[in-house]
Amino acid sequence: MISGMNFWLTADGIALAIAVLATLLPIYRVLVGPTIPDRIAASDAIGNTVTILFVIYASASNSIFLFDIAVLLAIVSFIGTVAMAKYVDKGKVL
Amino acid sequence: MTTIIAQTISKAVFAICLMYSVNLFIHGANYPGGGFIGGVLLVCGIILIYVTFGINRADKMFKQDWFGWFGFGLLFASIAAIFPMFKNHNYFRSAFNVVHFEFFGISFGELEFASSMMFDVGVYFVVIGGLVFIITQIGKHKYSPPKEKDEKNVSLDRKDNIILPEPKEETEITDNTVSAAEGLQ
Repeated sequence: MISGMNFWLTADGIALAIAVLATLLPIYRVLVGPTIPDRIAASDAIGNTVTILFVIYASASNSIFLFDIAVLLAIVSFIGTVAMAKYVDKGKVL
Repeated sequence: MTTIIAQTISKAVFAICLMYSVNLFIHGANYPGGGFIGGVLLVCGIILIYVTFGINRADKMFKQDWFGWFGFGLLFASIAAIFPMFKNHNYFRSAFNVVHFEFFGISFGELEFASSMMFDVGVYFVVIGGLVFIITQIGKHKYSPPKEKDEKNVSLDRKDNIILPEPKEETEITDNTVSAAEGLQ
């Protein structure tokens, strides 16, 4: 991993900056979303972008262990979205 | 009871969860992973089936006593812990052996087997049984509205007389959903 300011000029650095920005923007929708489905979609977007952020960081640091975290986070984020969507639709989860 | 799209997707995701949890469990001795996180990932898959199919149909699918899994895992971990004491070793003493896979002169790599993996198997079953049992018991709990008061004591304030509606019951199983659900059995 390149240290210093040179890192942000590489492809990994630019992609990491864009992913961080894409993670921060849905937080506004989670906080001030007028309805509950808005908040659910925004939290799903946060989960997906954090997964992408882990993958980019694994590519930048030449480590394979962060892919485990990425796969786990993708699965857990999907299950959370499904559970919240069923709660909005039916009024109960199980 | 959700749409058939969610049910089909959840079955595929359950298979991926099962495969990946076994992967995490096997290389958990020297790398990130282990019995606990593998069990938690498999619980995620099982709970996804419970969420999409409803608790009644998912219980019919799995046909498992989850608390029995908890007890089996605890028994297995205890046996793995006290087994070295029969050979005059300490409690929880473990050993390992590296096995080379070589068939017909072709090497298939090597895998390290540790005796503490038996303890990890126990942790795996304890996590699966305990978490699924807790979540299904919470899901079975129904909100019971407060009992109706005596007619003499009914207050004229309208807030006190509102009875919350009960959650919707499971709808009857139609033919399309039954044929889709039988794939997992």
